[in-house]
Parts: sequence; structure tokens; C-alpha cells
Amino acid sequence: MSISVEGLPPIMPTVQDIDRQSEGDTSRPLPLVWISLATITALLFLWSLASSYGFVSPLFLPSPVAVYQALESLAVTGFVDATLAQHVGASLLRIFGALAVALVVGVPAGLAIGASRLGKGILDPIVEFLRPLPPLAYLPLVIIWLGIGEASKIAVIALAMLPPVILSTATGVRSASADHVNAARSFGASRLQVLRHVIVPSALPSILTGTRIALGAGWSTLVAAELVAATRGLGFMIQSAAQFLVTDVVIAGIIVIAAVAFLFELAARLIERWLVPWSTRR
Amino acid sequence: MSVLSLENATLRYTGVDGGHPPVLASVDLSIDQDEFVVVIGRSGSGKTSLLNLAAGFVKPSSGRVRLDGAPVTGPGAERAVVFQDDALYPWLTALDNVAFPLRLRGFSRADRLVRARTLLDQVGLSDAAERHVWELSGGMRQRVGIARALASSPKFLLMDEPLGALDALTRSRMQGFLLDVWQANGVGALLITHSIEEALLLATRIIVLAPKPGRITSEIFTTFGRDHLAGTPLSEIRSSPAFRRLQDELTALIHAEEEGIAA
Ligand SMILES: Nc1ncnc2c1ncn2[C@@H]1O[C@H](COP(=O)(O)OP(=O)(O)OP(=O)(O)O)[C@@H](O)[C@H]1O
Ligand SMILES: [Mg+2]
Repeated sequence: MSISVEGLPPIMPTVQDIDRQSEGDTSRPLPLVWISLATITALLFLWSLASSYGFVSPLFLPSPVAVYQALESLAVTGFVDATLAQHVGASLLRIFGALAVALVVGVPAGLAIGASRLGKGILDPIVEFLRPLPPLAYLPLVIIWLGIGEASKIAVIALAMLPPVILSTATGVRSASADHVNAARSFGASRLQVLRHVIVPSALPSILTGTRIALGAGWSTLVAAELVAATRGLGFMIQSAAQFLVTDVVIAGIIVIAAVAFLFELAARLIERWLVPWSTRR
Repeated sequence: MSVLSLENATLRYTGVDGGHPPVLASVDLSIDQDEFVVVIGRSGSGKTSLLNLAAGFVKPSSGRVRLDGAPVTGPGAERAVVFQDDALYPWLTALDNVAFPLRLRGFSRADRLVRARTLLDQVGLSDAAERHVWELSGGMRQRVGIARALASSPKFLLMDEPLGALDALTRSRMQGFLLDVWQANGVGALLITHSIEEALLLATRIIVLAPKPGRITSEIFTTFGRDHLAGTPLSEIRSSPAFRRLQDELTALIHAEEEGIAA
């Protein structure tokens, strides 16, 4: 509801005002994308202003042009014995390896927590123990157990990804409608058939949301995981550059991570639209 | 011919504090496979609970539910349920929803789609086969729900206010449709409704359920549905004096019972 006085604009936006933006009414306001692009342009402008007038030393903040050149040379000649593509490839391999592990372990665990009292009793304490722990806290232990190779990096990232996957799967299971379950039972479905044909599809939208959250957690852990005995990877690249105070490479690395994460997000949304079209409808 | 029966069935939902009053008390009801039984009663009288007992979703606290003499221990394909808000699976197309019960029984994809198409034809939705659930109107969804229930080749069709969410015009068309389905498939029907008119139009037998505790207070046998199947249009039946009179009587009866409870 809005409070409005004759001749004066309403004090609060009405529901219709908000709807109009999405439905494209006559007085179409500026699309959100343009506003966001304007913000980015302004930030770039301020950044180049700051560095070209020497407000900030290039050691702390190299100019956008310098960062662009760093990106170019990263792509062509590389940094610390690997090209940008190789760094990105190494990091992506870890992220996807860890995601595969987290899904293979986490989805069944979430199903067990959501669908069975016994499963909840057994697994809840483990998840609740793991969930609040910062990955850096158990990284040394994982290295003692698994060595400094690829396995420990993937394990740490997977551990960080597990709680969101498990919890969102369990939430998804609980969101399954009683009528949907009862319908299947009245057509003669066994417990296993109910799980496979009703519970899992009901939980799918929530599992995908959990996967997105897990990817976010994965990126934050990646940098930490690549601190130790890595020879490739975006996190490793940024840290080596920071040690030699090659700030333009540091910033370039950050931008690459942001860009890759953004592409992931876009891909996730496309996958959602394709895999669970009903969750946005209805 | 199969018989589905509730024998002296009492249902008490056991909450935290245990001693709840029964929701259904000593209900005796036996449905033959050639009957169309309609349960009517006001909100909270235990209609859904009665259907849930018959479907096997809940167990009676005392008494028995039997199918052809054998105790019912849970839900089963011979008693397919049609839900008030359709309960179609949004991740499946209309056709795959109808084919779902056949999938559970391990039919090959080709076999179940052939059978599902026949059923969609029967409910007049051949054109909507590939549509998603959210692309169907309320009436279409209910017809898909009924086709899906029929796909499990049930002996009984249990319907909890299947037309409750529809507009008046669609609803009256669907009433004729339900009679056709009942006749064409040789299933016993148990239908719940709030509408006295609907009960009179569809039922071969009307059961009046009185609340607190839910119990059967009257049984009325009617033939309007069969008249319709024999060729009389529903509109003519609705405006006939006999129909009007029974409608008034039934309304009065239900009101009198409510007074009785209030007193
Ligand atoms: N799962 C449950 N747990 C506890 N009490 C319940 C449960 N389901 C129903 N009840 C109670 O049982 C009584 C009968 O409910 P029921 O749903 O069978 O009524 P109904 O006749 O179907 O009503 P309506 O016409 O509104 O659908 C109500 O008082 C209700 O509160
Ligand atoms: Mg009900």
C-alpha cells in the first residue's frame, strides 16, 4: 500500500510499480543491466584516475592498462612456469573434482538425512561439526593424512562444499509434497520407487541451489588449498605474484577468478532452467 | 466384483498429548465395484480422514479396512486416489504423468506410452499430451489426474473433492465426465464433495457424515447419475422437480443434524 496525497507522488512504491519493471509497462524504467554497467564504468574511471594522477603508488594499485597488459602477457607467456590457461585449467580441475566428490557423497547423505530418522540421527552431528569449521583449520590435518599432492587439495575443497550440498538436499527432500508422495503410494510405489521417482525430483531444485552455494564455498577454499605445495592454479599464481609484489598479476588473477565464477553462475542458471523448469513456474 | 469396506472403523490422530477424541467413530461402509458412493458433510467432519483410511494412507485405531475380505495394510494400486489439488508431477509432461503408474509396474516405455495415450484420448486431452503441467488449466489437470489414476487399473477410484477448485461451468461439465469415466472403466467410485447438488447428480448412494466424532448419519440412494448415462441431459435433471425436491430434503436433513449437534 502507498500513502499518496492528491497531486503528490506516492511516498512508497506500490506493488504495481515493482511489477512494472519486470513486465515492461509503458513507462519502462532503465534496465538493471545498464545501471550495473554504469557502475562498472564509473569504478574503472575512478581507478584509472587514481593511478594516472599518482594518488596511489602503482605498487599498490597499478593502472587498468597495466593490469590489461599483465593479463595479455599472462595469456601468452604465462607466470611462474605456466600460462594463464594452465593456471585456470589446474584450478578448474580441482573445483570440478571436488564438486564431483561433494555431490557423490553429499546428495545421498542429504537424502538419508531428509528421508530417514536413522540417517538424520547418524549424519546430523557430523554435518553440524563440519559446517562451522573454516577450511584452513582442517587443511593441515588433511595434508598429514593425504600428503601434499592433488588429493589433499581436492579433499579440502570438497569438505568445504559438502555441508551446503548435504543441507540443501535434505531441505529439498523435506519440501516434497505429501500429496505427491501419497499419489505414488496409491499407484503401488515401493519406498525405493517413491524415493527415486518423487523425492529426488522434488529435491532437485534445492540440490541445484546447494550446488551453486557449494561452488562459491569452493572458490574461497581454492585459494587456501593452493597455498600449499602447488605449482599451478589461480590461487597459487596470485600468491606467488604477491610474494614478488607483482601487483598487476595479483589484480589480473582476481579479475580472472571473478570472471570464471560469474560464468559459473550464468551456466548454473541455464542448467536450472533446463533441468528444473517447473521450479520457476507454478 | 470387488468390495471395499470399512468395518467399525475408528480413527484417532495421536498427537503429542495422546488422548485426542476420535475423528471417525465406528464407521461402517461397504462399497461395491459398481457403485458411485458420494460422501458429503461439512468441513472438519472427517471426509478426508475416511478417504485416507480407504486409501490406506492411515490405519484405523480400531476396526478394519478390507478389500474383498482381506485386510488392507497400506496404499495399493487397486485403490487409486485423485487429489483435490491434482498432485500431478510438474517434472513430467501430461503424458508421462499418466504413464507414471505403469512405469512403477515396470512396463516398457513404448508400452506405457501407448496405454497412456489411449487414456488421454478417453479424457479428451490427446492434444495436450506433451504439455507441461503448468501449461494446463485446472479442469485439464484434474482430467490428467483421473487418467493417471485409471492407468493403475484400479478397482476403486477414491476422489477427494476433485472438482472443488474448478469454476462452476467447468465443474458441471466435469460432473458429466466423471459419470462417463465411472461407467466406461467399471470402477467403484468414492467421491467427497461439499456440494449437495453434485452429490445428487453423481451418486448411486450418498453418505452423510456428521462431525465430532465423524460418523455416518444417513444413507440415500439416488438414480440421477444413471438417468444421465441413459441419455437425460444433466441440465434437464438439475431442473426436474424430483431433483429439486430431493435437493431440498437433503439440505434440510443436513441442517437438522447440525441443529441436533448444537442442541
Ligand atoms: N493429520 C492430522 N492430525 C491431527 N488431526 C487431524 C489430521 N488430519 C485431520 N485432522 C482433524 O480431523 C478432523 C477431520 O479432518 P478431515 O480433514 O478428515 O475433515 P474434512 O471433512 O475432510 O474437512 P474438509 O471438508 O475441510 O476437507 C478435523 O478436526 C481435523 O482437524
Ligand atoms: Mg477434506
